[in-house]
Amino acid sequence: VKIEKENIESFIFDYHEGNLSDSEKTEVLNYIHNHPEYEVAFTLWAQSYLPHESTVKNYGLTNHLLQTPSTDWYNKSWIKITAPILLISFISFFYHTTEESTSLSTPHTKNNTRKQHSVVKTKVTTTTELKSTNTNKPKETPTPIVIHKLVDNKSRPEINSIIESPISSTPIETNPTIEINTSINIQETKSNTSDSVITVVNITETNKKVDESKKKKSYKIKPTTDFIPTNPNF
Amino acid sequence: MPTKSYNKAVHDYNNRLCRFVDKLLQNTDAAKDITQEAYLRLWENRNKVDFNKVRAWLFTTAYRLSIDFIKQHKRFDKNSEMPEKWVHQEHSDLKDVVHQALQILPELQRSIILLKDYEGYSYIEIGEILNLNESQVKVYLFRARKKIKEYIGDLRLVI
Repeated sequence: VKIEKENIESFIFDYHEGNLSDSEKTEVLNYIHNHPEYEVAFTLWAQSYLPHESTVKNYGLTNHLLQTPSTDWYNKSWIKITAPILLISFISFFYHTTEESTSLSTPHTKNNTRKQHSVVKTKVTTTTELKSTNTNKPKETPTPIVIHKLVDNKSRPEINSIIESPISSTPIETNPTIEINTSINIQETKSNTSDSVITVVNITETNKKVDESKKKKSYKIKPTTDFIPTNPNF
Repeated sequence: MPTKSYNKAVHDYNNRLCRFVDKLLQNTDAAKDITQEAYLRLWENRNKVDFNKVRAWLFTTAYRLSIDFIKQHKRFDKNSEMPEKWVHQEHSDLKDVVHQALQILPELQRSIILLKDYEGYSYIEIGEILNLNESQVKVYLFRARKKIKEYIGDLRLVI
């Protein structure tokens, strides 16, 4: 573009802005040299720039604007990642520990895997206390019996028979020598991982020697109504 | 943007930002308020703002806040010329003259001059801050410098 009277100011502006090449700068300077009436304008354009300030005034806001680093610790990415992992691990560990404690005696198959059973829901979660006497049974500590139910309803009678067997087979008031308090605590636990139901039957037998006085009293025979004496000396 | 980066932005730019607003508004107290408001907004949006562009973000925010301030307070009528006291007072220093000439410029042109001469931004960077394209920035800058030039020339004739 040729420098003319109409665009000289634009060229002077670009000259001071640094938008011109070296050859263009030379052209502008030559034009002003040939037209001295633009020398003042050239100087005024140069003076239209804000003077450079070597130092910036301190407004005293720095301390008011600074933030303490402790306030955004939760924004750190490693915490966002590790926190859920730790939480899940803790829950898993806790769950696993609880499950292990409830199924310590669970039998394993040949492949060392637990037997898979389906769920059988029974409402046998009652505590039955039976009072019975048995002369021959020694004093025993409570023995937990763990029964793994199968899904099939066929197995239910078996289990019920097992559960009921100590009750039905115990002779009641046959011999008053030792009083055995037998309490059967039946608990069913449904496993979340496998479809098995673990039935724990706690049989607690408390053998208690009857006092001698009671023992003597217990040997007194009382005749029943249908008792027919055969001995004439009786 | 972590706190460390935010604090670095405070150390690097808070005085520059306050000077920009101060020169724009000719009101140091308002400049401090606007600077604090700009940094408050930066802190609130620290997770969204790219640290590499934090300087431009701060100047953009400060400029918008300054324009709002001017609209609310309307220090001068748009059509008014420079205040009379500026014409009659003595100008011994060219620096003062230029700063006074700055006040006769519209806010946009004044902002462009401040960003160009004080902060050394390019046309493109100024355009990003003020939401203008490069050509518009150049045109506004030309007009602004021409006004300053004429102001200085008029004063020379007066003196």
